[in-house]
Amino acid sequence: MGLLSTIALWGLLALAIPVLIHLVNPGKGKLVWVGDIKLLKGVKNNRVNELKIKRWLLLLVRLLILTLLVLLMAKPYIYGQLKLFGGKTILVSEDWLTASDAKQRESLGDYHVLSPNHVWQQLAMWHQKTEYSTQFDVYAFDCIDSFESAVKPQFNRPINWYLTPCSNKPVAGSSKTLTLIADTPDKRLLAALNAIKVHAMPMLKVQVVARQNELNGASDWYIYQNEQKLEVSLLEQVAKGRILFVVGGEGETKPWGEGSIVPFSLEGAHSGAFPELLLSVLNQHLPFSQRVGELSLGDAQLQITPGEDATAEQKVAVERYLIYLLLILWLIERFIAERRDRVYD
Amino acid sequence: MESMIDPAVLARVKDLPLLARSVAEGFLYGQQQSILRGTGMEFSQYRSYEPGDELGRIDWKLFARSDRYYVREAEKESETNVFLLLDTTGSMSLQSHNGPWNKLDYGKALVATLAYLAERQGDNVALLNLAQGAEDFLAPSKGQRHFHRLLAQLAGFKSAGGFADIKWLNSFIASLSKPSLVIVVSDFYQRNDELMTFIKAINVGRGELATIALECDDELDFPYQGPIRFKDLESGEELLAPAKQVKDHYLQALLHYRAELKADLLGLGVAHYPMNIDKPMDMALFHYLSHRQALGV
Repeated sequence: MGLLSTIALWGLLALAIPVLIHLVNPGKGKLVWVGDIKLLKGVKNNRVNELKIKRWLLLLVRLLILTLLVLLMAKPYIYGQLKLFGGKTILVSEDWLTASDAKQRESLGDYHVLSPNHVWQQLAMWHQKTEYSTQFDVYAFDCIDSFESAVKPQFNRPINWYLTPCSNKPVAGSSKTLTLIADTPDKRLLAALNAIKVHAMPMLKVQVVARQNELNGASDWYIYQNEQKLEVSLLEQVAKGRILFVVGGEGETKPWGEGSIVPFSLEGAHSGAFPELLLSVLNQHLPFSQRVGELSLGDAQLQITPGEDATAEQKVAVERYLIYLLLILWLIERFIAERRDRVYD
Repeated sequence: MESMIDPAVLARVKDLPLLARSVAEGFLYGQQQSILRGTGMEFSQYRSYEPGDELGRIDWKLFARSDRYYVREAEKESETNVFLLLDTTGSMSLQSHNGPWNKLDYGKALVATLAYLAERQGDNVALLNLAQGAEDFLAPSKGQRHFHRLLAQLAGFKSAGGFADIKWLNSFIASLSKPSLVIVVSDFYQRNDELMTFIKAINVGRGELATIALECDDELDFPYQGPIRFKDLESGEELLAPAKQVKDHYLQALLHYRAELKADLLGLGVAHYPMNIDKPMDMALFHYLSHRQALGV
C-alpha cells in the first residue's frame, strides 16, 4: 500500500472544518415555539443521548468522507493483483494453433487468435480492450521472435501462460537462398557457405553467378565479390528487402529501400571460426522471425519466461473502490443528516 | 357548507371591516335574521296586515286614510351588551408551520366578525384586551362609529406578555351590570389558572358566558421529527427532546388538558367552543351560532 502523490495529504488539514463546526454548532435541534411547555414536561429525557450519538456519528462519517477524498487525490495503490471479478480471455498464437491437434483446440473453448509475431503488442492491445480484472490465458511458443518488442508492456492483471518450448515448433518450410556474384568466387567463402549448409542450414541454397545480369530469381542474400559497379537490376532486388553484402566495400551499413547494403570483409576467412562468423552476419541482417540456424537458436530460447513477470506483485490502483466507498458514505451522511434536519412530517 | 372561505385567503385580507363583513354575510346569506322587528318605541316601517297579526297592532288611522290594513312595526330595542374579550398574551402568536395566520390574527378576525353580527342585531358591543400592559377596554355602545372605533382598536392589538392584572380586571367585572353576553376568545394556556379564576369571577349570573378556545393543527397533530428545542412563547423556557419520544406523552397531556378544561367550564355553566385556526372560520362560526340558536340565546 502506498501513495503516488503524498503532497495531497496536506488536504487532511481540511478535517479541521467539520470538527470546528461540530464544536461551534450546539446542534440542539430545530427551534419550535409552543404555547405551553407544561404539556411537554414529565417525560424522561433519556434519549437525548441518542441525539448526541447521532451528532458524533455524523461527524465521524463526514471526517471519513474528507479523508477518503484526500486519499483519492493522493492516488493510492496496493501491491498485488486484484482478482475481484472473474472473466477469462483465451488468446492463442497462430503458430501454436497450427501445431496443435484437434483435441487441444477443442479444450480451449472460445479463443482469440494472435498472430505469431509481436505477442507483446497484441497483449497490450487486448489489455486495453478488456476489463482489467479479466484473466488472460495465453497459448504460444516461447520463441524469442514471437515476443520481439522494444519494451514489454505493463499488465496489471493475472496472465496464465501456456508456453510450448520453442524447439518443439515445427520448422517452417521456407528455405533460404544465397546468391554469390563473383567472376572467381573466393574459395574460403564457398567452403564456409558449404559448412553452414551442411551443419546449420540444410535448406540453404547457394547459387553462384559470374555476372549481375545472370541473376536467376530472387534470393534472400546477395554477396557481391566483383569489381564492377552495382547494376540497377540488383539494386531493385535489394530495395525489395534483400541484403546485399559487398565484399571489400567500405563504410557503414546503409539501408536501401526495404533492404540494406552491407560492407563485408574477408579478413579472418582463413580461421576455423569463419563459418560461424558468416552465419551470425547473415542472421544479423534478418528480422528475428526470419533468423535461422543452430547458432542463433541457442539464444532464441526465452531467458525469462513471460509468466514470471506477470505473477510478480504490481501496483494496482484502488481509486475505483475508494469512489464506491465514498458514494456509500455520502449516502449514509445524507441519510443521517436529512433525518436530523427534518422537523415536520 | 361547500363554499367556505379558505383561511389562507382570509388571512390575506388585512382590512378588518371587510373581513368581518365577508365572513358574516357569507354564512348569514339565506338565514338572515338581522334586526328584530316588533313592538317598541322606535318606528321602523309599515307592513300589510297578514292573518295572525294582533288586531291591536293595526294602525287604524292609516286604515281610515288608505282603506287598507297596515301594521306598525318598530325596531326591537336590544338590551343586550355583548362583551368581546380577546386574549393577546404571548402564546397567542402560535401558528402552524404551514398555517396562514397565528391565533391572534384569527382571534381578531373572529372578534371583528362577532362584533359585526352584534352590531347588525343592534346590540351594544364592548371590547376588552386580556393581556398584561395592554389594558384596553372599550365600553359597550352601538352604532357605526362605535363599531369602527372597536375595529381600529382591535387592529392595534399585539401579542405579548402574560395575563392582565387581576386588579384592573376587577374594574371591568364591576361594569358587568346589565344582562350581557360575554365571549372570551383565548388559547386557554394559563400559567397559574388565572384565566379560570377570571372566568369564575365574571360568571356570576348577570349574563351568558361563552368561551372560544383557539387551536392550531401543529398543536393537535404534533407533526415534529428529530431533536427539537421546544420553547415556551411566554416564559421562554426551553426543552430539548426528540419529538418522537415526547409525542405520545404530549398528545395524551393535551387530550387530558382539553377534556379537563371543557369539564371545568361546563361545570360552571359556560359554553365552550374549540376552533381550529387552520380550518375555515365561517364554518366554525356557523357551528357556534347554530349551537347558540339551538340553546335559544
